[in-house]
Amino acid sequence: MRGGAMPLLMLPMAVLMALFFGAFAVFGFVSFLQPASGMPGYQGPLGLSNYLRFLTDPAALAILGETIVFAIVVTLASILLGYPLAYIMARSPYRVVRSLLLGALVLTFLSGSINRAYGWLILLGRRGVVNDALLALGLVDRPVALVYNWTGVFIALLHFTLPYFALTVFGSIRSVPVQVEEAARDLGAGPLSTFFRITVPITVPAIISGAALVFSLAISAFAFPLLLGGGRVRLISNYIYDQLFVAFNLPFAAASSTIFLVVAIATLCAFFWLEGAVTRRRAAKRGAA
Amino acid sequence: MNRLASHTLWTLFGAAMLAFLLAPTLFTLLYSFSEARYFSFPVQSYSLRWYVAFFSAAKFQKAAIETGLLALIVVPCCLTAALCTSHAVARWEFPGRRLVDALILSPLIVPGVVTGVAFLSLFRILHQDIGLVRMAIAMMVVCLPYAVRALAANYGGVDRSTEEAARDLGAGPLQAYLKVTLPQLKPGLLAGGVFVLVEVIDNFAVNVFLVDLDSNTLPIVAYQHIRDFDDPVVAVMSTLLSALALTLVVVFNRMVGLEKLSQSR
Amino acid sequence: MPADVTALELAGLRKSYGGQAAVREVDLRLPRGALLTLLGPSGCGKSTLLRMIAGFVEPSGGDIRINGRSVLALRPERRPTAMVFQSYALFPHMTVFDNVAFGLRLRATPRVEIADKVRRALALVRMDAFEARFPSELSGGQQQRVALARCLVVEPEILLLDEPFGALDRHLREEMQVEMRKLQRQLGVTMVVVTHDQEEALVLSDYIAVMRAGAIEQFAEPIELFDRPTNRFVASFMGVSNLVDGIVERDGEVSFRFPGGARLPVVSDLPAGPATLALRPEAVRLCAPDDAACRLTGTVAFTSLVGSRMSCEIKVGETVVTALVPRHGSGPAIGERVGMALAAEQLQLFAR
Repeated sequence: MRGGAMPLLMLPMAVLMALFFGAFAVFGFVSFLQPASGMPGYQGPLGLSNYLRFLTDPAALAILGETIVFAIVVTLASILLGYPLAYIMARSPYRVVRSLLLGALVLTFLSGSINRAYGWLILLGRRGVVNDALLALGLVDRPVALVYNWTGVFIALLHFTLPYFALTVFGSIRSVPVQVEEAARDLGAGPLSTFFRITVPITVPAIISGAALVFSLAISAFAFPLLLGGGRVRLISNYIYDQLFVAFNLPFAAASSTIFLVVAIATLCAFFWLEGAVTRRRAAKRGAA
Repeated sequence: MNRLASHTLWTLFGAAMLAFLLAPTLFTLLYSFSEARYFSFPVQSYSLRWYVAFFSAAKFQKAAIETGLLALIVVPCCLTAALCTSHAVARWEFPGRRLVDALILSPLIVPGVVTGVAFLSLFRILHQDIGLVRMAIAMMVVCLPYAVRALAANYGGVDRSTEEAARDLGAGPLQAYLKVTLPQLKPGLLAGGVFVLVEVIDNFAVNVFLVDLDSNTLPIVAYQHIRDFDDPVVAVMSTLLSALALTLVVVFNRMVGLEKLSQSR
Repeated sequence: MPADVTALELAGLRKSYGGQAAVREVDLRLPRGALLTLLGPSGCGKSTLLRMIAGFVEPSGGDIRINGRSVLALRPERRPTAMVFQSYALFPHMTVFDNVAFGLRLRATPRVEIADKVRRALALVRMDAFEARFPSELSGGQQQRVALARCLVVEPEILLLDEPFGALDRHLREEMQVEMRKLQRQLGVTMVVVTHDQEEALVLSDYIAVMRAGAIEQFAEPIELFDRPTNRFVASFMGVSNLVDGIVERDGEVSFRFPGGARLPVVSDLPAGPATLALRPEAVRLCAPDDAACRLTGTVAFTSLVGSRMSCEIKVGETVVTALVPRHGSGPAIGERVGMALAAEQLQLFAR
């Protein structure tokens, strides 16, 4: 196909992107307006009052801060559990183990988030299987509160993000030739030393991009706190939802969303900067050595 | 650490992760078949009463139809748009190509709730009140990056000279594309299709802002049901969706292999 | 360095995968400072053998002794071996310097000493100007030198090389072969090289073990192997392209009967019966059919030019003998009847 047809091919994408950015233009505009009575309405004059309100409200800022800290914790947990998991999938000598884990991971990845939140509700509830097991084992003498608090949201969210991380890193570990690890063993490195000196450092870029993915999923978590937080755990997404459907304040919801979006993009940029820095450090080492 | 100990540790870890990954699905499955309203393990007696309840509930029927319709609109449209886009991006050198790349991926990094509120503001201005239309448009935008990424990963592996060979042997441009290039894009199309389908069926954060008074998708109706009732009807829905996911996994594994799926994500 | 000390000894070494034998009963002794080539077609078990010595594959039976000590119980990182991989397996996230220093750092060598040893190893392979580069910035030949330096620096008892020149182009390959041989002589390091290229084996080796289907077919010095292959497989692998199945006859004098009737007097202690005649094309000299030196006659069926020489396919009874002869003018004409003079010591006979 010659260049002539190419612009035509870009048309569907251009229309969709126009709608997307159009939506953000309208939304950005609305965030500077004032709420009006009636079904979420708005009116002039333009002003920064919504932004000022968010940025001076300790409760709102606390929710934003908690969301970020929580997302970091989920990200770290995903790395700690997901990396060894991906390593087994990539390197286990048994085909059955590899396919079983990969299958379970992809299945988890494809089964919906509401479904899984619901599954954890059943497992972690006061009369749930986990509490039954803990009681039967004598580890606790009365049911532990595992849902409607941070623990429940954390477990379910980790379950949600783990496949994203593990699948990202899995591909990267797979692309490290086995011979490179063997060469390290051959030169005198034990299995652990090989893992930490060779495999992990080579896959650092994948770890960072997997972490960025998990972080952006965790920071925008909405359904999990809604179902498993029992109103006590509120992340920034839930806060925005409440502004719209409880307070019927579209301009303030829009302003909160904008601030959230800026924070989300800024942290993602930090991740990409980190990824770049790692590569740069490798290049710099070259200059110094 | 000796060999046996490390072997045992890895095995235990693998088993624990497997249990962690599959536990919610498996226990939801058990719950959906239990007679009792409240879950207890082991299950006392099995029955299909919650399946009957699910299929005879008008709200779930309506939501299933709505979700199905949404998928039927979004999946083909989104894949077509992605095919056009990925072809242009892969085969057409134009200034700002990298910018276009970044633009297409931007819906991926915007939190769902923010996208939802943004589209809500847009549709308010456009006076578009039909939930299905609003959701279809939003879902196409949200899903486009998934489809484009899967196809772009695939395009990298397609040897351009196969298309040139077809042209050389007498095929027209369209013919060459349909008979030579498109078949090679099958893994990408399948992977993209799976991602889009799953996202459309599962999306909650965006669609919850866009439904109208008489349209609801399955996740939203499930959420409302969980909020208001305490019975296994949603377990039935979850189990059915997990069965769908399992079917997708098996079909995909047969046709292209699971590892391809993780590569095109 | 005493040449008669055994550096590597394999005794009854076996490996089977699910009943399928990959290596069967290999016995071998290699003197210190010698270079052994394991030569054979792909799938003959040569790489498995090498990986068993390195410790990556656990043998099903037998023993591996290095300097008289069994290393079977040792894991790869504890064995006094170092391996140059076919893909080089350089660590992509480390500079050339760090790659070479890797083994020394694991041995807790003092910093100053590391720098010194690494630089010396790199100088040895003429890569000292590249120590700050990353592997991705090097050519194939340079990567190979680094891989070699990385192994040399840890001073292994035995250096293992898996198809070390396989990824290089022809010109560079020949250059590197000679260089490797010189380096090996200079350092006196014991080496085991795996290859499928017989010319490479001849250039490099003190000893060659030709392998087929998991077993060593012949273990010999290169000249011996080239001149006196002991069976049909080795002969064909060493480039003997004339292999004629016929019969040894003993009626007074010993002769070899070609299929179709022609008889060739031979010197052999084989009993009468089916046998294979092996003859290098370059050992055939053409002469007039009535020449006194003529041992065999035939008809020229096809000729082609091979540089300064000419390859002639000569029909002898029902078989074809290929002769590689110096070119005189346009050479023999197709259909021409020619005689062949064959030196008795260049004929080999194997029982069938």
